[in-house]
Amino acid sequence: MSSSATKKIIGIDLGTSNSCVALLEGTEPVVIHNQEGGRTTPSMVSWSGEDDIIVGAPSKRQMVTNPTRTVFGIKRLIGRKFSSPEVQELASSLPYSVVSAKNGDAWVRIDNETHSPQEISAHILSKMRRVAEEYLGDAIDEAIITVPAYFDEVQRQATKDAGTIAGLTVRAIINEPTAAALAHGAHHEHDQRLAVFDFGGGTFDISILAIESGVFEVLSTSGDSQLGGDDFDRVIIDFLADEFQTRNEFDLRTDAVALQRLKEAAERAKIELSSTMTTDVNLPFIAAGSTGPIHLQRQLSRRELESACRHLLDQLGSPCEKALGAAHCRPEDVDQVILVGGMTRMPAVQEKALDIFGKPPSKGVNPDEIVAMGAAIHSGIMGGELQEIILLDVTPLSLGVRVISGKMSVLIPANTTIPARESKIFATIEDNQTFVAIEVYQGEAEMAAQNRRLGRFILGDLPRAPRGQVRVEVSFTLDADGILEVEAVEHSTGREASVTIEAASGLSQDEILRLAGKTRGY
Amino acid sequence: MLLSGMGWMLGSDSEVQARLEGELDRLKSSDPYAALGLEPDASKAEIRAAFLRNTKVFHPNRFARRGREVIKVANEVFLRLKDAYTQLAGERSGKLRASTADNGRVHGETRRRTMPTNPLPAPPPPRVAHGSGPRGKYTARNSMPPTAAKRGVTQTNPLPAPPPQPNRLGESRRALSTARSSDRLADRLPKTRVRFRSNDSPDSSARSQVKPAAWERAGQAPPISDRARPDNRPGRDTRAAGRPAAPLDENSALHSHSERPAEQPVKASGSPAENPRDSDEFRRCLALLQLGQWGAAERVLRNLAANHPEDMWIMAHVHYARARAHQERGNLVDAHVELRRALEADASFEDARKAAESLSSNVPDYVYRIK
Repeated sequence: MSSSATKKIIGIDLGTSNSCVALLEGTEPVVIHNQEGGRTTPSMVSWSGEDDIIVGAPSKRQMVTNPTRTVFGIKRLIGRKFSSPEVQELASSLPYSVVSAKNGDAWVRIDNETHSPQEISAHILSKMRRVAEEYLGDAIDEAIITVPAYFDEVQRQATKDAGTIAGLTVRAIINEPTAAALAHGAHHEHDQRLAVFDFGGGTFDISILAIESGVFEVLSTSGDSQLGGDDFDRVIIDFLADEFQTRNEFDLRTDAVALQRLKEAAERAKIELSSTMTTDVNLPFIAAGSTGPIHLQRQLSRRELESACRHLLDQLGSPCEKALGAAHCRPEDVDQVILVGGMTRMPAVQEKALDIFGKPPSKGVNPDEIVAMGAAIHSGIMGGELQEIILLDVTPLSLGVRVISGKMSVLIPANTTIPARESKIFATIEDNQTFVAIEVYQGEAEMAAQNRRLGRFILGDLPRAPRGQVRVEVSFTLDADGILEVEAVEHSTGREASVTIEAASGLSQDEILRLAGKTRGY
Repeated sequence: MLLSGMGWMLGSDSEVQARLEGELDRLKSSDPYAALGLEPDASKAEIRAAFLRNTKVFHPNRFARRGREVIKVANEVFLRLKDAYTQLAGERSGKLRASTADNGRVHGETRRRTMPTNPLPAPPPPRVAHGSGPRGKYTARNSMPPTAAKRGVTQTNPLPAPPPQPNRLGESRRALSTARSSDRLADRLPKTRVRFRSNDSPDSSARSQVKPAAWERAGQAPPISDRARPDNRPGRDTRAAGRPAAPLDENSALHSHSERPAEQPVKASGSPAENPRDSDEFRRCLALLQLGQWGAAERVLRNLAANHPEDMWIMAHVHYARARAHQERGNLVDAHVELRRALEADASFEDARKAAESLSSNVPDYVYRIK
């Protein structure tokens, strides 16, 4: 193997709430403890004092006293526009302030400085890298990072840029459910069909895979990129705050510190209710009333939690049906259901999975660690240690071009195995039309404008002819890394144009390099 | 066979690349069976196994730590293998390719499918007297603005609203009977008020009297109604070349349609007080549409529209007639464009919507022009 192969590639699960790093020892993936002794690291970054940046558990500990300068759940902002409804909804419930960058991206403002989500994610990735380096006693500069299957190209590129800022060469961005399947099936000899039910802090993904002679073929993938454990926390926060407001005529959500304490208590209550039937929420001195301090003390039951979150639980069904449909699978064709992500610890979520697939989920899988382990397995596929397995993944979202009346014409449909190449013939809509603009979009909406725009280019000098008579063949080649090459050819003249689209994450190469230099300082 | 001796995978980038390029050359000159290393009588299971075996060796992920060029060749090799496999296994993407490759032939077939020679039942025998009830309703409807008129029908009618298709069919039939009963209309109507400014329609008689339209003076793209022409001969659009290029805005193609001036560039003299939809002309148009005489209907409607530029309902019919004329000639693109304009003028125009639906299911997609 080439010289670089002697160095390890680490696998990082960059989660919404927690991150995890693993690497391959021999042919076995090993999860690495962080300096605080945890196998996972809270995905939190906070600024304290002048330029002091704290990452992970220490950041989580000081969150209550430093709410506006502690960033959590940055994964829900990465690669998104400030004006998007998702960000707007989210921003109103966050204690730190989300602002619009010059290019319209959602950034975070801490004091008087703004930070891109890429940069904040890079702090977490840096930390994971250091964890691995300390364990190995050797420098590491290559990584595989996992993302939700439903991330679009812009979000993937933004994650890749975060890796670059953290000084890592990102060898691959792989899908979280796929990684989980790799970790689960790598050492099982027999062929089987898996459903990976991945419900984490910020996203819900469902993937159906077939394992056949060591080839892990993703049959379909679906999900909801705006449904996660955070939403359950928010429901609990609102539940408690509404009740508090009717009793005390004070809205806890208007006070950053109170909101932060409430959020922490909500998350803890949610976790505890996975193993107990009732829990106590105890927040003394949460507000100051006219007659003195007010405390929030309340018993919360699992039943209350489940009924308050019923609408969220109900949203899990339809992506599963979509994924089964796309895989041409019935629930009974699925041999095993694997649960991934902290939210799958919730009994109501497990019941939902049982409901949908008609079989109990597999035990013996650690839902917090399996994704990072899968990323480490993938490093063995790339590095040559694991010759007997390979992953055939799919593109989760359709790729196409914008056509007449603003619609999107799909060239590569969702759930196509990558690498993929598809082409389609288009015609001009005006007489003597001398050029066409090929605008590339990604997404499932019928109207192109509602999807993610990846780029555009022009094919000019078309022959003059009545409308409809000039035919342009457009072909898309999507490689295994998600890089898309678009080519357009007019056959009668042989004129052609092409462009390689690597979705721009909103940061220029210079900015990434500048930030990379800065991050190394820590 | 391919899998014996995997030592090459451990070589330098250039060695690996040479090996992959050799494989690519072999695949380019192989039939799908040979590509996968199979005999032509291979079973489904053998085909699948061969594809998986090859995937494990040549998937680009195996070369992820190599140079970009190596990965590129590996991508090509894998695409060839996948292609061979989809051809043999008849999978999803294989089918997709087959259907797009047939686009050239779609037109002829579509035409036969969507243009039955006589889609409507034979017109009823002429009836001179029509009941005052429906006639009254018809008038009331037409004296209202288009959208309000639509609502008016359903609101004032105590019975459930009839489905639009039979309703309009009924109107057309009533109109038809009027047309049949008064053939003299045909002589009278087209000659009146032909002041419609049109550079391209051969039957336009008043071109030279017309001063330049607002858009021409301003050096902008022409409004849509002028660009749409009843025929499709090449080289007729002399304006296209001299038209100033607008900035390459992603929405410009759409905007040029929707930013149509509210008014037609030239107003013809006439009697605007009279409700055009209540006129014999309009009923004659509906009759012509009913008979499938799209060209003739379009000419009359165009005159009517020129005299009543504010009437979007008539405008919608103009575009609809043009669309059907195009469709008849097989110019599906133009038909599509015109139907869209018809629906822009009146979004509730059921005939246009139905025609557009049946068309769009059979037409390839068309890329926008950016001006």
